[in-house]
Amino acid sequence: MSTVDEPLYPIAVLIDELKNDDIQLRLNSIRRLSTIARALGEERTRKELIPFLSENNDDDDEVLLAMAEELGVFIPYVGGVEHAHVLLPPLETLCTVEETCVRDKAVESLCRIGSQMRESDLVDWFIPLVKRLAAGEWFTARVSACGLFHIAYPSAPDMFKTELRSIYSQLCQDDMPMVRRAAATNLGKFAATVEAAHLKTDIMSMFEDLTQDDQDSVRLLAVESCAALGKLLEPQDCVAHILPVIVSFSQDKSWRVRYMVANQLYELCEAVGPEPTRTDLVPAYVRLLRDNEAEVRIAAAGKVTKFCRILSPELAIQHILPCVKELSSDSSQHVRSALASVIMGMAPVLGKDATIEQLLPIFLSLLKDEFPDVRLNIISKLDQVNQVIGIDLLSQSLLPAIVELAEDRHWRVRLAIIEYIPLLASQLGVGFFDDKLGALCMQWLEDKVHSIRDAAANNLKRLAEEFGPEWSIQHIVPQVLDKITNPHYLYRMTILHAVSLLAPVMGSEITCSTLLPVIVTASKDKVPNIKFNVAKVLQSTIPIVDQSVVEKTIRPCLIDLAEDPDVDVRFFANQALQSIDHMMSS
Amino acid sequence: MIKQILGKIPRKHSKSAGDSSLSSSSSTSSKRGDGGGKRFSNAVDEVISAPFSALSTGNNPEDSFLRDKNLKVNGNSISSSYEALPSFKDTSSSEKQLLFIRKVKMCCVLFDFTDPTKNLKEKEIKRQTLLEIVEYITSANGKFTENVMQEVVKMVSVNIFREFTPQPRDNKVIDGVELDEEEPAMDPAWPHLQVVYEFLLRFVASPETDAKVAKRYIDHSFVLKLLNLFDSEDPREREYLKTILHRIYGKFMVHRPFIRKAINNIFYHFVFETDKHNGIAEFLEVLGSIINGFALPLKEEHKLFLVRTLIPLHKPKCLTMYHQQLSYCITQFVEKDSKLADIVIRGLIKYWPVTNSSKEVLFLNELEEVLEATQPPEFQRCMVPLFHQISHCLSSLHFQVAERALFLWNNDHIDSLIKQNRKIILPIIFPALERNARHHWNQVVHSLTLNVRKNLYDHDQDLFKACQIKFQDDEAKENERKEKRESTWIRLEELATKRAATTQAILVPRTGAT
Repeated sequence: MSTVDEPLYPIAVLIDELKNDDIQLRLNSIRRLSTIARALGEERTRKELIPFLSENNDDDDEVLLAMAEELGVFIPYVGGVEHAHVLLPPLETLCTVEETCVRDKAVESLCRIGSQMRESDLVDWFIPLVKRLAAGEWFTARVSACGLFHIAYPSAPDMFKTELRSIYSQLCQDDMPMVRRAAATNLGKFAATVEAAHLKTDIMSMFEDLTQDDQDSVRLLAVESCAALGKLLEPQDCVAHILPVIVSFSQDKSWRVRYMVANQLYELCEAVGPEPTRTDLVPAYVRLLRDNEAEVRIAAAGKVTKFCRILSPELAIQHILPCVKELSSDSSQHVRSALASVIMGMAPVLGKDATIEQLLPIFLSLLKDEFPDVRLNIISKLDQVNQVIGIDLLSQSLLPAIVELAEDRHWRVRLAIIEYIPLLASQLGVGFFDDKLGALCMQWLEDKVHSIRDAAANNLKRLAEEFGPEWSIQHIVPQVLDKITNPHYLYRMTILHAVSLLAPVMGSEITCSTLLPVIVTASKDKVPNIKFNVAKVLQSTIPIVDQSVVEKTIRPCLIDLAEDPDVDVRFFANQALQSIDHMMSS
Repeated sequence: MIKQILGKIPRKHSKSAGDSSLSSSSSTSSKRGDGGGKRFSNAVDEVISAPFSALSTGNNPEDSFLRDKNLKVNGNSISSSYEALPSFKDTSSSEKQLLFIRKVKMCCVLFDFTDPTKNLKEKEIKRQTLLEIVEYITSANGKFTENVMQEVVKMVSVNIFREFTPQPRDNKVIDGVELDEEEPAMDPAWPHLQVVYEFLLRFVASPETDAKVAKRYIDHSFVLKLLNLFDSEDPREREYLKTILHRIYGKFMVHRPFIRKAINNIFYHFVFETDKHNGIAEFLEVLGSIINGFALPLKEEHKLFLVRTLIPLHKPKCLTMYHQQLSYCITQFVEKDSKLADIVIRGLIKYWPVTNSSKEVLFLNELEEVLEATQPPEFQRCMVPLFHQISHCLSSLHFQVAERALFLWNNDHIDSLIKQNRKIILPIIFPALERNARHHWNQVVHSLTLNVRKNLYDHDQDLFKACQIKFQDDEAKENERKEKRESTWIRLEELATKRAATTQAILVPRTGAT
């Protein structure tokens, strides 16, 4: 190639590529920034590439996003941590763009770089950057600043620390709700770096401001920092400052706020200790479990196990279990569904007796729920169920549920249950499987929906792996092969697919003796789609069987197909023949 | 489609209700209110699983005493205390005001509308009372006292400021049919709410309401809560809010900057954070008429509003819901100051949809309107990126997009702008036209392309031929260029590996690349 002789200027290549009208090409070149940097060497990367990038940020957001991401891992290319600060200017600019994704990524990259920088460099470069952004004219800069304080603060000298705290407090009272939301979101992270003395004063007053904000959306985010702050404080301070707030939040007029409380109340239990938990948090949680708003109950129900784990069994049985009983017949199926997905985790907390007496009836009623999601959630926790109630009881109540789900009219539900079959099989054992589930597995091969047939074929493969070839030759293979004569070609294709998946598991011998003849017969099918799939399947069986079988059976069959009137059949047959030749030569 | 129709019906109604004389409006509103209520209660029974409505979920300590009473006490005990007050007719004029305040206070009681059989009598009494105070406030002469204002605003606040219930996420797939057009959630309490809104509207609009005094009660916090209500799913409610906000903006000059700022904040929240809001179209409608009234030359603040708020509103994927109103606002700006065309067009290009074809058609519609008001100097400033974008649209596989882009040539103003600048534009769009002419799958696009091509050819044959030669040349070299690019990157990679291995002095000659 003549181009090899031309001199190569890495930066020029980049400049050229970034001018291209095709955004995909611009993206590709940004994704290869590290190549350019390595070709340039560290010094010229610092002096030429990075300044170029700082000025060249007028591109599509997608390209800027890629740039923000690449720069986050660029320290090695600029000469290691002592030069890391040169990466800050381009990222600082990216922190001020309009698009949220780009800003978030730039902040993430800045944090990544900042956490590796030397302390003195942080003071010289990073802290001034944070201050500049926090004083930014437009909200984008100030929002980005909020996410950087936890990196800047720890290594700042005392004077700077005071200043940073006061800047953050201003951000919490910013004129724009966007900024206050960002400050609320990051408060927990920032607080974790602040000294205990200031935590109780400065941070708590910021927190109080945010919890009284006139915008719902800000208060909502303040709730999120409750748990984080609670964990940082001494228990008595937590009881004094956080507990009243969360209890009042749990009765906020906005369901969204109550929803957030429901999601993280359990995290506060440890922070406040057992007594306040009993007197304040349990009643609050019980209220949330009985909230008027289904969304709140959904959130609360989903945390039932986590909450109970923290409580003493007596408290759980006395206060939480009655609510759980109510929720199991809640009018919203989403509440029941959320409950079903966690309820089994309560068993170890409650102990065997309470489980059998109180939890099991709830569990069984959820297993018979009219909504498939609820039943599915129970079945998907099967391993836990098994440990608690034992296989006999389980199989009695489980089987009807499975059979019903297997025939559910929504194919996604059928799909979900198929995916649990291998797990079920391993838990329940061969005997149970043969009796009850084998027929179902075959039935799915003839489902009306392609995804189900596909999943059914995969399922057979996983079963064969679980129970071994000997079992499979008896319980799977004959039933599958029977179906190859189905009058509908789509079903015959499914069978071909199943055969191709089974072949590697069954091994060379069974493949040659049982599967291969069926495939060869199928090559005489009248539908071209079957025939070119035969060609594909044959190609995939080449590595499994002996050389002699390839020559004696597979090649002649493919040669026939290669002369088929249909162009696609010829194409795939030739492709398979080529791969035989390729294997021969290697 | 259905949504649009649904949205329009009540709009017309309430507008007429707002403008027509009181007697007719109150009779229509009561009829409509009842119908709505009935419809709702059915829907609510089916969908809402929570036992109580938004009205009764409240835990706001401020008015909890009212709500608790409704929640826990049976109809009996309420009815003993909830009796209709004497009518204004039977009261001497000196006592009317006192009676009015008593009636207003009575309307602070909230009823549970999720159960249509509950407190029927009391609900009717409250509705009648509301209608009476609407009439009182409309026919009043003599300025309202501060005390009246305070009570009025308090009553309105208690009634309209509430938390919206979340959209029930139920049963979408359960029936086997997915509803692609969701019915908006209508508030079952509408029979009361509507009259309260009517009342607020008339209060704000009344010449007897002195803005200087009323601003103490219709304050920032009131306005902010009012703006938050725009997220209501109920189009009838948003229609009222729109009219009321417009009146407040007109009457309370002191609140104007605050209102604009607060709306902007809602827009930012919507564009950059949530992507979800029901009332954007209504806000834009109000803003449209505000922009219409901007004096020339435009203030810097208003131009910033265009760039920082209106243009980014093109980003969300639900643009369809408010595009018409947005487009109106944008063209207002360009018509007022044609120098803004360049900024607007660049803004459109920045937010141009990548995969959403129906959104793309909307952009092209708006672009045409903006170009219509664009003068040659601004056009020249943005035409290069613009026609790169148009060239993309021309070769879109979605025929509506390609078709809409080709229709730009039907506009004489645009056609002449293009012809004046053909030396720059034609080379940019030529490849797209050529490829369409050769093999666009859609017949209409194909023939439209041929027309445009012929038009351009007839106008300047030499230029056209030059472009054609260049295109063929480029096409022939396409593969070569691709290979060259690949080999360049491979060489760069080699160079990088070599450097990493040796970490020696630079192997590449220092460049003067610019």
